[in-house]
Amino acid sequence: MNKFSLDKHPKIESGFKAPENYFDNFPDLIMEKIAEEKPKKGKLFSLTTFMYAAAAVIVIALSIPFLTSNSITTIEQIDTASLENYISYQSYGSQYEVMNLIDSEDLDDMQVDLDFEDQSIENILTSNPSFENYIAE
Amino acid sequence: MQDEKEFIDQLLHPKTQNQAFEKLIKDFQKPLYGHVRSIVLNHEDANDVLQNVFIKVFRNLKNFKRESKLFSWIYRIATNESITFINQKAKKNNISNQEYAQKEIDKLQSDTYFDADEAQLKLQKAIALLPEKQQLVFKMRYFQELKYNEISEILGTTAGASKASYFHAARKIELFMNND
Repeated sequence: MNKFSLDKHPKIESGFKAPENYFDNFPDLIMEKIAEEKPKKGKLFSLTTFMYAAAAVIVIALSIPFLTSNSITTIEQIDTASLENYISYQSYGSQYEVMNLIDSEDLDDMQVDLDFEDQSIENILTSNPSFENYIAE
Repeated sequence: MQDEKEFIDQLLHPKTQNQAFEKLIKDFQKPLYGHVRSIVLNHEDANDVLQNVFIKVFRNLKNFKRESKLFSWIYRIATNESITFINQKAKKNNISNQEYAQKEIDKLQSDTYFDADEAQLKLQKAIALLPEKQQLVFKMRYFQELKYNEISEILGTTAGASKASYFHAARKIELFMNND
């Protein structure tokens, strides 16, 4: 019996086949999936989010002189939780005071449409657990 | 190549992108299915992987560096997706990739979408015993009839290394096929 040789033996096909019409429908299937994936226009931040974010920034800014004047603790040494507690319970600047400082024109300026994919927003939110605190309520 | 350059421009331009991408799918779906299927072995898995490959290609079009050919870039994505898929399946079942492939080949005998005689099945068994790289090179060269320089571009090796892998693989397969 002759020894098997890949060069001499008639080509052996793989034997794999696809279902009938598989390739007729495949391009449409992919194009549909891609259409679903295309970026949808959405607002990344609502007005309320901006208000709270602005409030947080102003309160933090006002807190810096106090925090830096402390000879024992520097701003780097304060963890997020302590800072949040301070803002929530010790700060003299309430959200309402901050709101009074911002007029409707400022708010209009802050509201922008950002072209982000839903997935990106989801990624940002899931990878920044503390973010939830700012958008809560 | 001028044609390829124009085609890539169309793929990257928002106005022509969809039409160009549909053409890309039509051009690549059959050979790419063959390539993916030869790695993952059953149709259902090949279908899942192939869909992911095209979606990944679409998502990454903007990152495509024109240093390599579109063909080898797409094949590289398909190869990586298929291998990742096999790795995950094997890991999930707590077995090696080789054991996973052997199991899948045993299932092929009752697979509706595997139409093969004894020699074809034996060849698949022989291939599954090879190291991963030799398997890939052998499948791309023997079934897909790709050139060594194309294979080397896909796998990121030299044409000489691909040729050596093919000959090692072929020798082992011949040994296996000669043993009953």
